[in-house]
Amino acid sequence: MIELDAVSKWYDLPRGGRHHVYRDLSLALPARTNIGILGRNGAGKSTLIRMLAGIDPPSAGEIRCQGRISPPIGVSGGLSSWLTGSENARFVCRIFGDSAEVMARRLAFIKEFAQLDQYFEQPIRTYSSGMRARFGFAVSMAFDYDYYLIDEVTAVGDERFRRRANAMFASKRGVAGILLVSHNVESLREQCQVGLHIRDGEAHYFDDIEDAIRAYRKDNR
Amino acid sequence: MSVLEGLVTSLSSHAVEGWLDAGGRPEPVVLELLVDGRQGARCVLGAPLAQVEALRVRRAFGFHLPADAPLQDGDRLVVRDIRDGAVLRGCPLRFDAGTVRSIEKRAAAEPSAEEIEQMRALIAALPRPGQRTSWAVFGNALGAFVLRELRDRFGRSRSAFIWAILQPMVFLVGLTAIRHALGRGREDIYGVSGMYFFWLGLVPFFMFLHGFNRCLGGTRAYRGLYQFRQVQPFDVLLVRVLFEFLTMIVVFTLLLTGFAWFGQQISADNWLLLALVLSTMFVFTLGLGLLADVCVVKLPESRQVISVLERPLFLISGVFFTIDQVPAGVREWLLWNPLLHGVDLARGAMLHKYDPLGSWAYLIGSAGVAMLLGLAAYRRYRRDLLTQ
Repeated sequence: MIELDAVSKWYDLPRGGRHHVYRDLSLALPARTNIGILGRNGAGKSTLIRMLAGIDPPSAGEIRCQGRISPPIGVSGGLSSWLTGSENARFVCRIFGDSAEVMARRLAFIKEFAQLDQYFEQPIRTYSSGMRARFGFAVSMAFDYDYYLIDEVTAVGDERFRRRANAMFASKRGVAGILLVSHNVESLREQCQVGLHIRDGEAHYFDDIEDAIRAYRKDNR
Repeated sequence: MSVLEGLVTSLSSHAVEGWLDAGGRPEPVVLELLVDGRQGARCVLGAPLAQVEALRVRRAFGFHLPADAPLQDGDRLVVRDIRDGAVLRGCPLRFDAGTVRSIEKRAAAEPSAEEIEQMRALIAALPRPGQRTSWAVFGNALGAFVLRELRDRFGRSRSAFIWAILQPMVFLVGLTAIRHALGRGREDIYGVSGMYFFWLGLVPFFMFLHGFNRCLGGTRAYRGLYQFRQVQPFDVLLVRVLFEFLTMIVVFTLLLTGFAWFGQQISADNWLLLALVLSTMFVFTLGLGLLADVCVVKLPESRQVISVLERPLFLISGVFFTIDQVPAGVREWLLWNPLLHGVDLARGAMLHKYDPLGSWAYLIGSAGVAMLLGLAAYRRYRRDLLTQ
């Protein structure tokens, strides 16, 4: 379970003043559940993900979590476009202190799962956005976490990749939880059981993803 | 209509073969092959025949067509379950010799649910993240960065490496040429040739300058990486400065070998003292680099100011003179420059006949103050560095 206890997050604006993203947010998110996170642009979805990942800690309050949370894997961040997919993957493995043997296994997984074939040995800047998404997703799945933070990746991939991603999610069911940020209602419906709707610095938790989608649609009207 | 997971993997005019996802179907399955809507052949998959091939658990099927009615180009093929009419994924297929190859390619790329599950289990068996000490995390991140920096600095083009060696040598040749033009090329300085004398000044100076320059905007270059909590902006700068120092040491050694080749006596007075000077310079460079990088992040305009301030450094840091060669009125001002002390002490450690006037206390003190300020600025604005 991830617990947010009276979390506030604000940013100092360059021309003076403060922008409050969250004020006094308290929330409990269940473990081993796929949680869809919905909200309009600028509602604070990415901020929440970054706080959970520990990159940008809350300005006030506390986040408690027993399990391990993955770094957020999005379409772009964290990869060097000058390095090849293989080199990028090796770099991530090294950060995590993998031995050569473990690294070889992880690389085999990433290569197989991302289906990049010969592009695995080409610089990332030659990849299409779909290929980048597949690669980022595979890298994130190559490590065993209790919570995965995934930002819009699955929306970019094609039909076949979505099927693989869904199969991967299905195999993690009951083992790990996934926090999926997406504007694609269909993919959320497919992959998540519960939902979190973010609006005006407040996060509303719904036990059923359908309810969260309904709230999101109403919000968009 | 429901879809059967599986694929036709092999087609010929007399046989259709493929595999079916064995998951969740313990009972016998009867498949039929329809050719242009007519029943072509039937196939009973009895007891689950699991064929493990390349990590896939599949059930194979095969249809044999009557010898008098082979498949022809343009035939539409449908494989379906006779019980509920569920159709195999990818059907209807058009039969022609060309599709056979593309089907096989697709089959190789599509893993089944079992394979995915096996892949997941494989990863679950590997060491989990988050079980190391913070020193191990720091060390691993540094190690990863050294390799990455190597790639970033020299991997893009071969010329980068050649330039790293050539650039200090260009300065060396330039300084020597000026000295010759002044008509003093044949005189020795403190018992060594002018070229060697200059080289001993250029190396510590360029260590600082290159290291410092790599710090400016250094944390920004890797900003995408901070989403891995293990990676901190400090690591980036530490590795960058370390890397420039190591590169200069390689270049330094290369040229020393060259000097020895041409008969220059390489008799360092005190290698350990040299190492100590360079280590202190390292701390100084990193501290100042941290401070400067924070400035650049918080106030991008400061970059121009810093590069203007950098420009006269070459002239006032003792690269081509020693402290006692400077007239008294100017010397007091130049001595404020910690680099002058560093360069002077390094040269003193290498030259037997030269007693350096540089102050150890001042050099170490400056390094300490620079590092303190750098770390303070870093600590205060670490969040801005992480989220730039």
